[in-house]
Amino acid sequence: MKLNRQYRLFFAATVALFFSFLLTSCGGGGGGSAGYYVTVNLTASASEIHVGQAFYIAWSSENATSCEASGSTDWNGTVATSGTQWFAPTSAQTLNLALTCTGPKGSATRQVSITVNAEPLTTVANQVPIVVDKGPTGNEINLPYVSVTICRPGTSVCQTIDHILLDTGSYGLRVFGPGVINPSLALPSVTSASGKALAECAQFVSGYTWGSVNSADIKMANETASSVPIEIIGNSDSAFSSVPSDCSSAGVNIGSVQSFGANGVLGVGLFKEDCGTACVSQAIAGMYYECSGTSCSATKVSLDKQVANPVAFFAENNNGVTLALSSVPAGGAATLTGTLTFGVGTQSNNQLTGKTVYRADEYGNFKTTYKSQTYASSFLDSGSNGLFFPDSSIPKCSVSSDFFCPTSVLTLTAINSAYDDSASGQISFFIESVDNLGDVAAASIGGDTSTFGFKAFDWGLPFFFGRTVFVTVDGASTPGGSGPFWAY
Amino acid sequence: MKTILTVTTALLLAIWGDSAFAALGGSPEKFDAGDVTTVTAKSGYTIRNTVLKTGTEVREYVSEQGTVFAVTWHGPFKPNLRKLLGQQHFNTMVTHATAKTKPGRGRLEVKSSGVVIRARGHMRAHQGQASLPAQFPAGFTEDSIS
Repeated sequence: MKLNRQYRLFFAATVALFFSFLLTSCGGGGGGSAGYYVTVNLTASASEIHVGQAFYIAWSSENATSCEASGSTDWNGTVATSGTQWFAPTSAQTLNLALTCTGPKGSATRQVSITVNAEPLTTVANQVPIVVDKGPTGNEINLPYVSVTICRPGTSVCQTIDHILLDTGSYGLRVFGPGVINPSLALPSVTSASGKALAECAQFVSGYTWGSVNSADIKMANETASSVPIEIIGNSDSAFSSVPSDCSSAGVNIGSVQSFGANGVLGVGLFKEDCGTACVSQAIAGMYYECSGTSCSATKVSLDKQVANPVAFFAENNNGVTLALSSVPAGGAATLTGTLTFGVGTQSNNQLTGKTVYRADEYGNFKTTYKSQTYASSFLDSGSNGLFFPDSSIPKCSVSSDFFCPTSVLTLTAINSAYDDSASGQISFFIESVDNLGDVAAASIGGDTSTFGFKAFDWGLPFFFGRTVFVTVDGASTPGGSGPFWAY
Repeated sequence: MKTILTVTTALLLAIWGDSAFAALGGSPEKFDAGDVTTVTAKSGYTIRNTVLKTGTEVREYVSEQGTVFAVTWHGPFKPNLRKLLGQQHFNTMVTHATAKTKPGRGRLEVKSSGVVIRARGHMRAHQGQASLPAQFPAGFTEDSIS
């Protein structure tokens, strides 16, 4: 009996293996081999939206020779065997969008259903100007700035600070203390679980900033983020007077207006908090500290006490931002203007219609393919002042050695892809010599990062010239799907 | 005599390795409990790959004589660079990175006093490397760093 049962199990497993082998052979073959059955995949970026919002559907098929769309006047008749299409419904309805693909061996149909609600989108003033100028040092290039109003929580004691660096490569607001923040603001400390004042060592690629964590109301346009943890860099309070050695071990102290080229930094990248769950479960040396007297020690910190992107705290338009900058010709521009819009697909002025959604991985990276090499840790970073990528064939500058100095303007191309290859698109860009530039604050410049061990193409500010770029926060939902993603 | 010398060298190296000389140009780093190291032998050197508790990965390239001639890191947090590079190379990095009048912002590039130090990436996704090209074993180039 026992043997018999074992035998039956073995038989079942063998049959299962056999069938999984068959399935793998069919699925894996693909490649348009006539004779295989047709499969269709159809997905919608949202299942429920409001009138005025846009969503897209994406489809693909295998072994199909033709596809027919049906279900709406915008989705009717012959379509390609794979693609994406945006919809911006103007009335309340339930859309049932179907796709039937046909090949030599039959056909397959898939359908998606999207509910379009009648309620109008709430509209609040959600835009502030961006300026690219030479900054508080008078010596900067390619740094985008915004003004931010900081208030003592729940009061009208406020200060508006200009020339805050708008940075898609970090998360949260940091403002320099001495000489920038008015001490009479008296922003309250954020305290650790044991009631001590929290401090932070924020890790940037070029170095670290050391400062206290304080609570503030942040106002931009007609949006308010209440009681958001921010970092006051270089807070002169004695509790934070000495930088812990495992913080300074992160490299260069960039905690000054001079070394940052800005009065502060507004991190509006793909994540909400600057650390995330890692700092909740362990005290990481070189991140968060609790201070008493004049000594600080590394501590765990809950998500709600971590320095975080204020946009995520807005009542509306809190799923991300849109950066739009004017284009810059060869030779550069003395100044550049643009618009920072809050929200992604939430109001008529931030719809994703026609944009390609590039999903990012858990680290906030996607893929760039340049000169046949694919760099899987690539990213869009408005806080990088050039396009930094591996190319030893472009001459380097003799003076500004971090940058390229090609003998004439160099036109190049690359392909960006979502981390999961769900989308890709070609980028055309140009690089000009830094040493040949006149007195400009914006120019399409870049530098070599060398290939050795690096898998990153850093798309700095020049990428944003002449583009509208959407940045959606990790886990936030939009009519174009959930973050983290960039779209442009 | 030769044997005694070798033993003495080994002893010296062992003492050396236990002291503050664990760094680039010295012996491999002593990581904390909970950090996981795996060692891969290559022709003429070994790679010590350590996954720190923070999720960051550190890779040390160690010569047959036991000297770290290159180190890379990548992950959500920077490792302790003062320990990893050693005080001397750490100081070189800080001095030279601060001295640039027109820096490329969002990156770090230092080539000085025989050491090459580079950092890339963004907050929550750091990448970096430091190497001593003069100490590369025969056949090893920067291209060998992965």
